[in-house]
Amino acid sequence: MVGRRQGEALLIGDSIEVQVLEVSGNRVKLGIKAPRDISVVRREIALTIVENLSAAGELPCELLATVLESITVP
Amino acid sequence: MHRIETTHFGTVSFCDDDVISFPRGLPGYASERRFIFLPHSSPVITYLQSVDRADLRFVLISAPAIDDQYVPLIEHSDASTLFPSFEEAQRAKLASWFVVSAVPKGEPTINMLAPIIVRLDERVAVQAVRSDIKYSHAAPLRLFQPIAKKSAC
Repeated sequence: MVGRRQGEALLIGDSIEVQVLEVSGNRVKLGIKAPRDISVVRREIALTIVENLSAAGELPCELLATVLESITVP
Repeated sequence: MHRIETTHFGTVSFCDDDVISFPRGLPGYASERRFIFLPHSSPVITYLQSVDRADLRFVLISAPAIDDQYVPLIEHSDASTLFPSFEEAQRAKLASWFVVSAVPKGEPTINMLAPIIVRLDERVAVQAVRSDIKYSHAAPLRLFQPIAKKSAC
């Protein structure tokens, strides 16, 4: 864990810099400098991309049907 | 009336009014903007089929049928897509759905972190990714019991 104040920064490896630009209430605004080939994305977006890619693939139909049947409105 | 050949459902017919517009696409599928709902035998389940990509379909389950306490968190960017004006936000009719997935051991899960929010009166939709940590992106579907009084929309 690393404690930082507004205006301070930290380095990840040699090429990624994260700076605390603004702290307001419970929100923190970060500035990130990273090489172009490093993807910077909100965690929840990254998780949803992975979920969507999986969801669009083949679902195990038999198992899915069993589970869906169990939650189907009578 | 239009017809498309789909990978999972064969030939599907639809009209312009059936198309649900996703102006910002979906995470992972940013360029897919047009979908239609295809019914499932269960009223709480629907398929979301891409109009432009034959193999792209999602299985959705009604959020209220799973958790009637669930309140979507629609952040500013998504709200501005769904409701161009405050007045429209007041009169909009919404439906919310969870995307069903299966990772990594084949057990079906639902993404409660990012429900599909459909504005029914304008047929426009977003996948509203919430930034809090209140809900899982992969909640096992088997953990939920049916809420009998709820319907699909």
